[in-house]
Amino acid sequence: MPLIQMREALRQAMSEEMRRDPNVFLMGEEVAYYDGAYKVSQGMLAEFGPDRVVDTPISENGFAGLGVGAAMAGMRPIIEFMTWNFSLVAYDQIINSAARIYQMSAGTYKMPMVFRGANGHAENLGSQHSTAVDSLYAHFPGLKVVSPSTPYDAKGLLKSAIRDDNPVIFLESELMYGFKGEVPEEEYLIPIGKADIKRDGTDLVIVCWGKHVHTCLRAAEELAKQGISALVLDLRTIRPLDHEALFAAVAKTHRVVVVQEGFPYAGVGAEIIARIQESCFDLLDGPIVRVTNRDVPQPYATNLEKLVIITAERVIDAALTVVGRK
Amino acid sequence: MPSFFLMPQATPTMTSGVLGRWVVAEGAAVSPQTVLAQVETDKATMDVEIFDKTVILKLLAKEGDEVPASFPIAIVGDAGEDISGLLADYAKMKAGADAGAAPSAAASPAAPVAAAPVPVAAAPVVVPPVAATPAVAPVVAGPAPAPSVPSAPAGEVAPVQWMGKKLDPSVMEIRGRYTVAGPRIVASPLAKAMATDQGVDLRKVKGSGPGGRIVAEDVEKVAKAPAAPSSSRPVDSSVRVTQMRKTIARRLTEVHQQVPVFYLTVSLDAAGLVALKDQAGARGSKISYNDLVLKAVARALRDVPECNAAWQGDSILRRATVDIGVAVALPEGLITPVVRDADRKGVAEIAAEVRALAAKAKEGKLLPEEYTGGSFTVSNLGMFGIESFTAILNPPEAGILAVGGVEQVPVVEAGKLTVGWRMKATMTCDHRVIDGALGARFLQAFRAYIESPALLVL
Amino acid sequence: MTSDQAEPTLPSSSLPPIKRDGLLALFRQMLLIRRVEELAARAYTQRKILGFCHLYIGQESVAVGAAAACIPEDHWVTGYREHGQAMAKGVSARALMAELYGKATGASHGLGGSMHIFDASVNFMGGYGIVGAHVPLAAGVAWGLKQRKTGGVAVCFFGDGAAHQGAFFEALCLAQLYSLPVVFICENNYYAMGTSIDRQSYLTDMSLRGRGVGMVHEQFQAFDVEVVRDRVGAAVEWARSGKGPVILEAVTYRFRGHSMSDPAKYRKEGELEQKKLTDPLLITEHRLRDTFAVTDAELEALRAGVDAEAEDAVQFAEESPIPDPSRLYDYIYAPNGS
Repeated sequence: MPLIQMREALRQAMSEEMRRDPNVFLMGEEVAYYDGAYKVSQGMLAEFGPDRVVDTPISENGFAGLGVGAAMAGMRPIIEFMTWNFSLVAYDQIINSAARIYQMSAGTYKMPMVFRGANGHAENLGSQHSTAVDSLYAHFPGLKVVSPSTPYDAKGLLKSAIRDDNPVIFLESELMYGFKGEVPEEEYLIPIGKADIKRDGTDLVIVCWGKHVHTCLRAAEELAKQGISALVLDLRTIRPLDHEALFAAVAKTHRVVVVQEGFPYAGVGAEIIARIQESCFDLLDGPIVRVTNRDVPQPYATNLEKLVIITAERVIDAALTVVGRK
Repeated sequence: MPSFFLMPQATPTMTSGVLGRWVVAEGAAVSPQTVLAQVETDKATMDVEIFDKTVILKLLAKEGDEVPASFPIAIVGDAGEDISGLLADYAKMKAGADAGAAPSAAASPAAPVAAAPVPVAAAPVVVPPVAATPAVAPVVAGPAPAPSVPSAPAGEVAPVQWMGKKLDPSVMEIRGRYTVAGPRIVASPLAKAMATDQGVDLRKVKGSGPGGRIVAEDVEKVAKAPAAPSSSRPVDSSVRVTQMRKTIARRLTEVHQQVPVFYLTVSLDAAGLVALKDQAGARGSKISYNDLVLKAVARALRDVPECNAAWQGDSILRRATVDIGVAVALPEGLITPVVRDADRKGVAEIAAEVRALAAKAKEGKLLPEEYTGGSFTVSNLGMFGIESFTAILNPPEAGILAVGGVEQVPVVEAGKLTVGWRMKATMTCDHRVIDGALGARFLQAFRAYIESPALLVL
Repeated sequence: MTSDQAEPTLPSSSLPPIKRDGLLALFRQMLLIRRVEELAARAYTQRKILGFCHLYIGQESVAVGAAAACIPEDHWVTGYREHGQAMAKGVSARALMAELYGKATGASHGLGGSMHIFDASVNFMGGYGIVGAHVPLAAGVAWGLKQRKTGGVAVCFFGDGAAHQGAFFEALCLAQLYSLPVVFICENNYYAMGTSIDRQSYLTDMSLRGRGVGMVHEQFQAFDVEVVRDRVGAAVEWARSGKGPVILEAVTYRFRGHSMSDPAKYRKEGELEQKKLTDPLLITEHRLRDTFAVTDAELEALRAGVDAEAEDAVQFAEESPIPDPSRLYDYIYAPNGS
């Protein structure tokens, strides 16, 4: 199986779907002539032309809304935000328009579109370029929120997202675009809403998604050396949540650590914990522990940044706490 | 057919309006959007409009009246129509309203005017006369009449059910328990804690909570149930321990298991101590044997500083100051507040400080710096009639002195049997720091101060 | 475009002059919209219609004239004061009234309400409640219509209050950059809620907003439905021919408050009475009488028919079932492949 980078997997997904369906197009800042700020769309302009790989002015509110309208008129837009930080000026379009039109029109207008881009912190980008928007979008019914961790998952999930008749928030990571992984040459899809066990275990489950799946796998490796067997559950989709897989993992291990990039307050991690305690109260051996970014805007300096972000050490610490070794 | 024109619900929140001014006169022909009157609502002065083509036959409300929303304020219809029936209805409604005893429209079992069925093809704002219409609402501000929302088919308020529904991944909202087969005892954390406290065997408790979960109430019932007649013997119970108790248990176990100790016991002539205490008491100074013992220990430590020390693995810590811990019994355990620089304080000063610290300890108000960092501890059970005992070290201190009671005993003095005062004390020594001879040297010094307490005040 | 290029202007439309029956039909449509809204106001005072209810009374000529200039393939996107546009585009009085009543038979099955009317069968793509935020949607609809070569044009209605929003400006930039077939119609009714046009903007002709992006722009008096038909006709022809977007300002006037609970005390003394002299219904009625010799009897019959249709809509709404609670979750996510 070819070993390719995450950015190539994403590109393959978009290109294959654009070949398959003439209504699919990619729009965003620097996606065409610049080949994408992170080279995700490299070469796509040459294949599909400027009507389908479309550079925009710096106008997120405008082109996000344009995408919504195009979706209502029968297109299947892929709207790229250079990073999700910039989506906040387009928040209204995503929430008030994309997420709600299908419902407030009583099913008259579907919203087959994808918003995608780099999410969360990278390195030394400071406060305004390090936001993890997971919780901001997962809050709203009408949106699906996907966050892959491997090139294989990224390709299969993005293809499903493009074919989905609902607005999909697709969260990538600048730190992961260069990650390599095996991706088969034959076509495949990964369904939205299905979690994946990235490592099996019996002592606790570490619930995670996106780039921190790798952080958690490193932590699980270290825990194994201490005789602790951690199950790493990659949700892959944050909304809709794969309750079956989540609860089954809780039932198997009885102890839970939830790892969520972004701030703790009112975060997806809190929501997952609430659902576990509502439905799995009697399956728990103890309180659930969360690992999130520290509750401060991202500082620039390297030493401070490292204090704020999620590390394998913090995940290990949380795991030791839930298994009573601390 | 003539009909009532009602006070409009001009804003979503208004319950009544004050009719400020009639803009039209009786007999006026009106068309849609004609302003009939101005009304003060909760929000502003609003125009009352009519949305039908008709004639104003009678103005019912007077300027300045406060009228509930949906209560008649005028009669409209074709010119020259007979309105006597409506006037009679209105008189009854108004009388009932003015009496103020009418139930609120919302609660009235009979159909109130506002909610009366309205033939829609006619003019809906205009309500046809209802025979024997009951009074519905006071003319002064009162409960809001029921909003005249069209009647709903049965089942309108049926809640959306999710309990027991299969988990649908497309719907985020879920309720219900996720269960797996297995031998786990399903009990709430509170119930588990209570069962431990009260010695209840959860395996024998039937859960009454959702899914058979054992909840606190179930444990309580079992705990309170009279003992079965076959077993009349009292049942053991477990008592949950406090954090303090847990800490004491852990530390004592550690020190008892890890520190090599030996014990040295001395019997001391306490006659001087007794005399000194009596003299002090006679002068109104409240000092105890223990205060004197503390002072003696402190002075002895100054004389033999090798005992004022602690084991540190690769080194021995020599204390620069003499800080004596005093064991104070508490209901949930014991604590050792520390008298700092006891060797340099007077007995009265020590006595006052010990009393203050003990009081604070009993209120649970000791600060950490007040019960840590001592160099040697004194534990005195003499007041409980204990003659002698051994104590466990208070780590990392190298020594603790267990002091018994001051008692009159037969003694041999100069070959003759006589009555004397004796006090026994047993020193526990950390052998890594204190050898036998060193311990003996310390007790010698201690003996000197106890048997000649005048030295204490020198 | 560069600053030395002349600004293009919008030519006359190529629509044929309107005839007697055509004008009668437009008059009837305006009258029906007004009567339906009067009955909506009546129902609102009876607490049968709840929430916000923004009436279009006084502006009917804009929606009806624009509809007369459009073809069925044209798609409309509007703001929240959209009862008039919805009906002009073909949403029935029954479906509109039932939606206001929150009934299952409403245009949006009771899920939308006054501000969110949708009907795909007549390409009415909704009213939107976030002022100005729907303008980029219209650009996107135009993108889709263009890419799919439908021949349709997107028409976007918004008020003078929306012409200060960032989303509005961004939509103009994008529409012009991509030369999209979209006509932006600012209905300047003089008030953004309670703030008059001269208190909210230095420029009082909102079509001039197009100048900054190089867009063809024009302001016109919109009380005469025939004028609206001609100017919107010219604009949709321009857009349909591939020349790009157009922004129009239709000068109109809102006879009623911002919403049902606004007594509109902020108007200048006598302003409303003055404006009512240019009531679109009066203007067209005079034209019908003067130019086409329409008789009192004809007008009476027409009014009676409109009254009956409006009352029928109320009766339909009254008698319709409320939404089925078990369908609360039906339209959150579209089932794929449907």
